[in-house]
Amino acid sequence: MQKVFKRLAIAFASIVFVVVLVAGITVWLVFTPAKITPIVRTQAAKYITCESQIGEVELTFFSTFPRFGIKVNQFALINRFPGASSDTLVRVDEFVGIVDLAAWWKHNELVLTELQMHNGALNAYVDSLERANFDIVKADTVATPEDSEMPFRFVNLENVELENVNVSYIDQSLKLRTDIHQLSAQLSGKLVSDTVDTQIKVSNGVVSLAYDGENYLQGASVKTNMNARVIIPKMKIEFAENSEVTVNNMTLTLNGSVENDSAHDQLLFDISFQGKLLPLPEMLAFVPSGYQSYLKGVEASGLITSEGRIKGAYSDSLMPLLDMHIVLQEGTLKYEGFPVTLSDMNGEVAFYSDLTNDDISYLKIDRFSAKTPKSTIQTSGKITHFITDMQCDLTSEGDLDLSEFAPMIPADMKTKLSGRAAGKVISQFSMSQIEKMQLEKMVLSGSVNLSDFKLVYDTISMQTDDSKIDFSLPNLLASAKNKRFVSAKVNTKNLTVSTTKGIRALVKNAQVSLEASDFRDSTRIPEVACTFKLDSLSASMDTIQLAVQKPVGQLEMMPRKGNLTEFEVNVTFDSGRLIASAGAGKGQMNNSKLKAFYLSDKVQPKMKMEYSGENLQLAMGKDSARMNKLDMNADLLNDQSQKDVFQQWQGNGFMKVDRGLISMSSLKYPLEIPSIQMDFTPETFNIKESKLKIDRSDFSLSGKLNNVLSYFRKDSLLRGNFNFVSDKTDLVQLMQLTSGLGDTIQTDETSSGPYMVPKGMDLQLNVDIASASYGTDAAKDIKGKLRVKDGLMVLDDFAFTTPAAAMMLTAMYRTPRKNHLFVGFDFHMMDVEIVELLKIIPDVDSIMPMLRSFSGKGEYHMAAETYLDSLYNPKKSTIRGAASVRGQNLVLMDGETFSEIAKTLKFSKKTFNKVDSLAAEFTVFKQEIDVYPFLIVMDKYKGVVAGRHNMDMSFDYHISVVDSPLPFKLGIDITGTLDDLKYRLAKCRYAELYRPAARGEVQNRQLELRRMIREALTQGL
Amino acid sequence: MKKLIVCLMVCFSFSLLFNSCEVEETSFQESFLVGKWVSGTVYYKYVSNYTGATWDTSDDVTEAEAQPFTWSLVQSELTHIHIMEVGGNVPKVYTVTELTATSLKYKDNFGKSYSFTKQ
Repeated sequence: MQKVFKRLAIAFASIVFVVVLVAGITVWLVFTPAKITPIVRTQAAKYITCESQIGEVELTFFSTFPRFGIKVNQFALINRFPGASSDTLVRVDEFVGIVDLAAWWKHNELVLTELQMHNGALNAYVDSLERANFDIVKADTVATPEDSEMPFRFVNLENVELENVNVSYIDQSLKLRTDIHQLSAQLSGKLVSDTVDTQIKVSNGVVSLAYDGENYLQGASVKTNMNARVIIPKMKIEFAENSEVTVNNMTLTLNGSVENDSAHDQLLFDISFQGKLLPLPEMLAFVPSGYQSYLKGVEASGLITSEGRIKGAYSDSLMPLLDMHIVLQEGTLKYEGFPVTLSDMNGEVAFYSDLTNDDISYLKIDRFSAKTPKSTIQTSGKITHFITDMQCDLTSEGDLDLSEFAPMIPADMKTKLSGRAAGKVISQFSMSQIEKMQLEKMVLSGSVNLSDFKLVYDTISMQTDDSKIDFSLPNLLASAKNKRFVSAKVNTKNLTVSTTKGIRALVKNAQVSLEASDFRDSTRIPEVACTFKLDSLSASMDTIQLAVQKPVGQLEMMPRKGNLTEFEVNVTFDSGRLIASAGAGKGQMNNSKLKAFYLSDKVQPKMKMEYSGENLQLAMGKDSARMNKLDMNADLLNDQSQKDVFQQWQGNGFMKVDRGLISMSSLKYPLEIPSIQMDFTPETFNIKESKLKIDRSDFSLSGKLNNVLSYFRKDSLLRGNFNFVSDKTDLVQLMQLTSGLGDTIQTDETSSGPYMVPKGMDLQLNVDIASASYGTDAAKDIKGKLRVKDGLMVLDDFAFTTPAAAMMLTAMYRTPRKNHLFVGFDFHMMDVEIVELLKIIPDVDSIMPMLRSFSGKGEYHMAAETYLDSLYNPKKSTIRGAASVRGQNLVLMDGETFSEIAKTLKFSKKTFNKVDSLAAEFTVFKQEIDVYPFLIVMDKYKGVVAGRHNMDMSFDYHISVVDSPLPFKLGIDITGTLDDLKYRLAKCRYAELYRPAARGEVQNRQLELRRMIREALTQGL
Repeated sequence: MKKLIVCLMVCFSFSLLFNSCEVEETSFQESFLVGKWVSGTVYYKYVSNYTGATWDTSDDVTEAEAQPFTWSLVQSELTHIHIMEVGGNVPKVYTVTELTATSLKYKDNFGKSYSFTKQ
């Protein structure tokens, strides 16, 4: 049996061999290229319109065994077409086609088992009128629409092989240009019932693709390996699972379909794709050249894994929907405009868009993170409407070393930045909002921690070791409806701001909260609320220093009701200890509390203030002031027409000082202020209570000071009427307090010069002093008026009691200029001991030395005046004075002068002699003291004394002895000085002075002058 | 009797001794006095309404700061009543010895002489 089969097999093989051999010989001998080539050329010319070049056509059998094939060498179609880049439409070195003739003959099936094209070129061109250079088939051979039915029931392309074929396709109507070089591909396919199942495998191809002048591929290496089904009636291609397209070694796996919806002139896509670990640089190379400028200076690396789906119609107005999921791994990015390289870039992004409809388009960043050498950045969120107006909803976190990013700041900003900023920022904004700075439509909130932060801008630097800034825009947790624009909260352990000009501020443990309305609205004043709480604040500028402990407060600014362009401000401020210094001046206080309200107004701004402070201490050099408590309320109005700041603010209010102490180097003793209570208006200071104490002096002052503002405006005298009540007063110290006030020119000499009575004011002091001292002199029960008026000080009708007597004094002190000071007084002692008188006014002893010889009480009236120089030395030429002495029942004591006289005149040895009366007047003129004749009775003598006493203590007296033991009247002239006393007998000048009937004209004249002197002195008493 | 005569002679002699003769008064033209007179640094200004003022520039006093007085000239007696600002008067009486249009001389009761020239 086996032999049978063996023999049958051998026989069959022999038959086949013979058939093949016969066929081969037939092909070799009958269908020679020389015979076939002309036939083909002839037939080709019948079907095509362009020139054809067919080198050699041969029928192959052995090389295509077991099928017959046609091999064409040096095949070319030449079609000179306007605009085409080449006249050669097709050029192929070798073209081999194998057709299953049996299938064609028996079953009308086209089975192209082999189609090989080697070293060819195809230049297809379509001009702008959609005329193609490959439209070369003659019209009568072109199938009509009625003939569009496929001529074969079954077409099978088993192996189409292209090797080293260059393809150029230029379509001017589509503005498309495609070049494929060195294309090597294998195709196979079957056409069954209008459906082609094909497998395309491109092993090599260098592709360049340009559209509308833009290069989308430039020499890209393209490979494909895909199975596809082409449904011809629908013009639909279905890509099988795992179809691969590799471009520049980047492989994209895809499946799905593409359909030409000719009815609607659109392409329908439904393609899913996936690319794994695609290198980013190669992907960026796909960016069209027109957009490459955006990537200039960008160096990026990393791996992109992407999967997604393209679904939908593509037409002139439609784009298919892209649903992509992209993962970036291990990316780096270096940009020449970015100071640091981003590394470890990892991200995951979903892209969903049809590139036409903003409503459905979005880019969702599931995660993105990157690092710099010292910083990390993370962000996530969603970007929508990126076709029209990109809207971002991002949550970003970062931990940045700011020194890395400092180089991004333009050099001309003169800004240096260092430290770390870590935090999280939530942002919702659109690009149009960014461009228009529509902050009111954005959402920006976050929290940033600054550590070791230092910012230097030009001459200003800010530094903090640890600060946290929370901000929110808009302010969803606003305390009030109108502060919803923004809020910020700053917590800092320390914050230092300084300038190179010596200004420095330091804040420790501060909490500052801020809420505000839209401050960019120029039509209205923004509403701002700021609260702050600090452990300490210190600041310095030049020699000015300020330190505040525990400052707490609130500042609120808002537009005025009814006038949105003006603002009002409410401030509350509490602090612990506050210390300030400026140059030699220093001040400090405890528990400062301030409430202030400011109302802005273009015409008349207004301010209301309530202030209280405890333990206020001020010091300036050796001068200091201390107040146990200071309260002040004030309503202030601003008069902007005034240039002087003091005059600009006019206020009503009150001030209360409790237990103050002022020490000044010009005062020997400190000025104690038990209390001061004062109301004030711009024009009036109403001192309700003012208790002061200076060493031994204590007094209270109450009353009103009027025309204050007018005085500073130089419109009016400063007028005041005060009650000055004191238990004890040291007048010298009091005068020192007011020395120099009101001088228009202040010089250093003020403190060392004479006391200058204030000018430009009319002040009256109703004095009631229980006890007063002036140097070594003392007085009690002083009542009178002290008036200071425009450089003149008057003690008016001062009544007081000294140990010597009850006195009345009117005194004037006028200071027209420093070296010309007027002093004058009108002095009355009604019941004075002569001895005490000489103690009170020692100068009287010089004028009337004989008074030293009297004991008893009398009355004394004196008026005197002179001008003084700046050292209080009298200007002798200006001395004027007049005095009147009256005494009753005086006792004559043993005085020096009269002892001499008594010795000469042999008075009795009695110690005391009574004088019934003494009445004398004397005047002072310059250095001359003229004693007018007066009668004196001594012992058994009666004499009239008159004469002149000079300031140099020389004198020239005359005594007329009108009654004596002698039988005649005589006179004695006494001249010289006390040390050189000369006397001589002389004519008795006043023998009849006290005898009216007998006295002469001269004596009457002298008595008249005495009367005039006395009347002038005692007038008004 | 002889003793009485001697005694009377002594009394007469004493009376001659202590009694002087009356000096005949001279008169001066008052109008000459009106004007400004100066003696060294001392100035006196007489105004026709019998007011006047005096100042001494050595004491840094100017004419504007001069102190007022009233004056009268009766025969040879020149009286200045210096008026004090605080109230009170200081009379000064002099005897004029020369008064011309350019010269003024007077003395007081204590023999102190003053000489002025007119400015």
